[in-house]
Amino acid sequence: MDAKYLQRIYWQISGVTMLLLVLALGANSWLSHRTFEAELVPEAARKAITVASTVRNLILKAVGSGIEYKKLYGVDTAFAEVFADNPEFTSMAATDQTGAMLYAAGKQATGAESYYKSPAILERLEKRAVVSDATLIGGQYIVSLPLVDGETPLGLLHIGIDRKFVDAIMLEILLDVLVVLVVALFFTLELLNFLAGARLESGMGALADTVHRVQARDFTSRAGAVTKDEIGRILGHIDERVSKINESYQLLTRDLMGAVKSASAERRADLEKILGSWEALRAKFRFGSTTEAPPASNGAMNAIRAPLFVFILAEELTRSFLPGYINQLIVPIAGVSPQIVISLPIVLFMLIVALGQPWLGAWSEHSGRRRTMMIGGGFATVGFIATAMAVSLWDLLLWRALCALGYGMVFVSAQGYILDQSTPRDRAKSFALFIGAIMVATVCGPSIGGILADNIGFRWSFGVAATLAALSIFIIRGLPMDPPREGRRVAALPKLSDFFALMFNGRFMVLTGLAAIPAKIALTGVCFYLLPLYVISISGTQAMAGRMLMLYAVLMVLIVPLAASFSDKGSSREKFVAGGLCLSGVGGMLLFASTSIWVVLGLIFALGVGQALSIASQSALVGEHCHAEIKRLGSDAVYGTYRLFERLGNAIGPLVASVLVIYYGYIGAFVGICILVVSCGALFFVLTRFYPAAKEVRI
Amino acid sequence: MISTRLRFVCVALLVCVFAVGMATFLNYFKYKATASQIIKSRVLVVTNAIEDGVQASLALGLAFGEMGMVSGLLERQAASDTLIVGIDVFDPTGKQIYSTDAVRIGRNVPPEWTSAAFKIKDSSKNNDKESWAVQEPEQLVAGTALQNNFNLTIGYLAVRYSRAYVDAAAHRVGQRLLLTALPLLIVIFLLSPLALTLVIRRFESDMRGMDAAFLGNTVEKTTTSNRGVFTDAEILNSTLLEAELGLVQVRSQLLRKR
Repeated sequence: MDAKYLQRIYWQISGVTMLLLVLALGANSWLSHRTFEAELVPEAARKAITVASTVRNLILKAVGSGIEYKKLYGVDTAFAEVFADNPEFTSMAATDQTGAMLYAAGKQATGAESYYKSPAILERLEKRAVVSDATLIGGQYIVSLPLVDGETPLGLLHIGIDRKFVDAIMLEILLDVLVVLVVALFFTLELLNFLAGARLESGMGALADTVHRVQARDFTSRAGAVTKDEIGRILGHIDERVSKINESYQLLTRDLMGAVKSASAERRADLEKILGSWEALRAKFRFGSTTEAPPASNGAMNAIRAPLFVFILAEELTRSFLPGYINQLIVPIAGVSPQIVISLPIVLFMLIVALGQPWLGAWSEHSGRRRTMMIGGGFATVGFIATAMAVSLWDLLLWRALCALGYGMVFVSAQGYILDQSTPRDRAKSFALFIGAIMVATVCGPSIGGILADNIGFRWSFGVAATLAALSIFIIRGLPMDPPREGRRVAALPKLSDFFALMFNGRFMVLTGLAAIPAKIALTGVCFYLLPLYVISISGTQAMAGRMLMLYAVLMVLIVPLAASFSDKGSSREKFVAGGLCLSGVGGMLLFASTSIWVVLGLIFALGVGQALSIASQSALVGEHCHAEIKRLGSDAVYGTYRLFERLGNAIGPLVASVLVIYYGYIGAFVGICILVVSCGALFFVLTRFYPAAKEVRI
Repeated sequence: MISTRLRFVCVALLVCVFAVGMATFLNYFKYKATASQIIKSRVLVVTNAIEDGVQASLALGLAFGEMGMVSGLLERQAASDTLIVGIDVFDPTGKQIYSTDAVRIGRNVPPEWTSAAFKIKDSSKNNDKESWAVQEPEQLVAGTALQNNFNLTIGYLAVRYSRAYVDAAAHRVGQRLLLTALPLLIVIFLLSPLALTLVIRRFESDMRGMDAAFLGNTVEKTTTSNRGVFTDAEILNSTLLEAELGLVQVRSQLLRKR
């Protein structure tokens, strides 16, 4: 009974579920493609008839003016104009009464010539019937229209619609479905963990603990089966037997002691032998009188993951479309550029989260984690509802501030909850659970949010975010109740003197100013501000922006654990941070070559890989570089100030990006931020390599 | 008793329902957007002829408000597609100058039309053929800017067309997509318990084996997939038996001495 056994079972179940999911989505996409083809082709054919009618009118006008049908001039130009306005049309042709081509443009379908001459088509000329039926010939749906001048039949006009036109529509849907698949896979893992995995894990954990404890002849506590499944039944049986043994032992002890107490001196000597056996039994086994179950910290820890995931998902949902929404509500502010105005709600949100966290942390310790989380969830829910109904930028700022307050409260309380529930031994594992929930939300949120915004609009998408935030409150209610107030530890607020001491500390500022802050500027400036606005500016969709943000998050999920383990094994975390920062910015240089959306995707890819490499080592470097400061001011003060600066970087990012947009446009802003990050990475490398004080600390 | 199998089957079903539901939702909205786009571009085809006619009249020196041929042109173009309910031409103040519907002439268009139409004013400077659109409860409206030969906007064209047609098409496809998704979900509902049972059966067999071994029942060792599980149960059982035996031995010694 070990962890590998549980992992094997868990992954087999997850694998089967995912396989079912892929099959279901594959079948759904295939069947939907057929529906689309069946419905969209006639619609496109009807449009082709309308377009063909206008071309026919031109031809008939010319013929009516006395120009011979076979000697018309400028038909090619008319066809070219049709192609320019209707990219789904691939070919056009005008034939005579026998079906011979007189004028043609575009790529004629294979077999089109013989189709034009076929009796079934020529029959339409005789009947003069306008039929909107489209016939599939050589990969094109052909629509044909008779050309009749008064009573004189001239020929037929044919328009070919590329079959790939439906495929192109389906490709975009397939990309969305791919997003749904990735999101569903992450949801699967979260749901499996929330509904089944956590229970299975805690059940299996309890069973393994009980087996090991009983095998070690320790009967002092019972397993206390919390589930009523197979594991619960086994645990129940073990508990029952252990209880009976303890009962027998207690009864025996009572009888034996009673006998010893009431025995005569002669009989007491006989009882000595039995007492010896009893002592030997006691030495061999640890009997218990207690029926208390061991604390189930694992379950309490897992319980925080679901509400945190749902809550963070609500906020992440808005990432890909928030700038677009702000753009819709924008009001002119004298002397302030619209680009800066768009960044204001994002900056305000980040600023409140950054500055509020130390105080909110202290408040949550005082008021209770669960209670603070519920209040925070409530604030965010109201904030999202009000954001959905915002009438102008001014009230939007207020509602986003409310969302930020709620976000800060939930984030800090969840962090505190994990600190409270974990022991130093399992703290790293517990924080991995916390970060895991956030990362999965960042993968799922922006992509789904983008799709929702494209399809149901901004306001309803905020409504979905509000529903998720409200749902998180419902799940938070399931967390263990807060301990009594007198039992809670009192938190110390960060001191301003510590803050200033660190602000003027070279080692600390090299790390925060050249690594942490630029990394966050790149994240929020590029991902949260520039990307959504740029994609829309080039006629892209919110879903496209969401997909790109999802790529960033997926890279983080995949690379951060690997980078962390490599940097832990290696000797130089500085190289990881500097290399990661430089890589983050390298993508921006590609924009000098081309400004296509694929290059922007490459930029996001480089940013994701670079950030993942850099972020994992940054926090660890605080301990390495600021050893003396931690000794002097305490780890809370140093790490707290570091986080504060890092989050201020989040707030600065959109502001920097908006200023760059004013002067250099979107592409210039992408490049500008990338140059900033590369410069900081290079400077960080030089300073940490040659800065003697840093080396001194490391020794 | 809620078994592990049932719990995992529920998760699989929930996730599949979410994924298929989301995919169907996306497909529906994508169809609606694409079909609306095709239909809109279909009705906008007529605007080219109208714009050409207006530009030709302007080139002859006629004032925008005094073109006698426009009304007839609008009527001919409106008749070319049964989908079109009516065509209007309004000036930059929103006043309708020409219309297929005579009672509308002289009236102002709804403010939603002008705000939508004015948005394309700037982009028209780039010579892009931009269009505007408004959704009304009874009808849909699509239009373009009317420009003179110097690319200056002199007014706007509005083509009103049937909303019922677009809604009916979306409704029909929605039904088809639902009819695609529902049987698929039924298949998943039947398939997932079977597929998951194949995997979970081994776990259940391990647990049964462990339970039986623990209770001291005879169990076929080959039924368990994990020998460690079985050995654990045997050691557990023997440890408890040893303790029980020890207690019985001391108890019997005590009874004998009485």
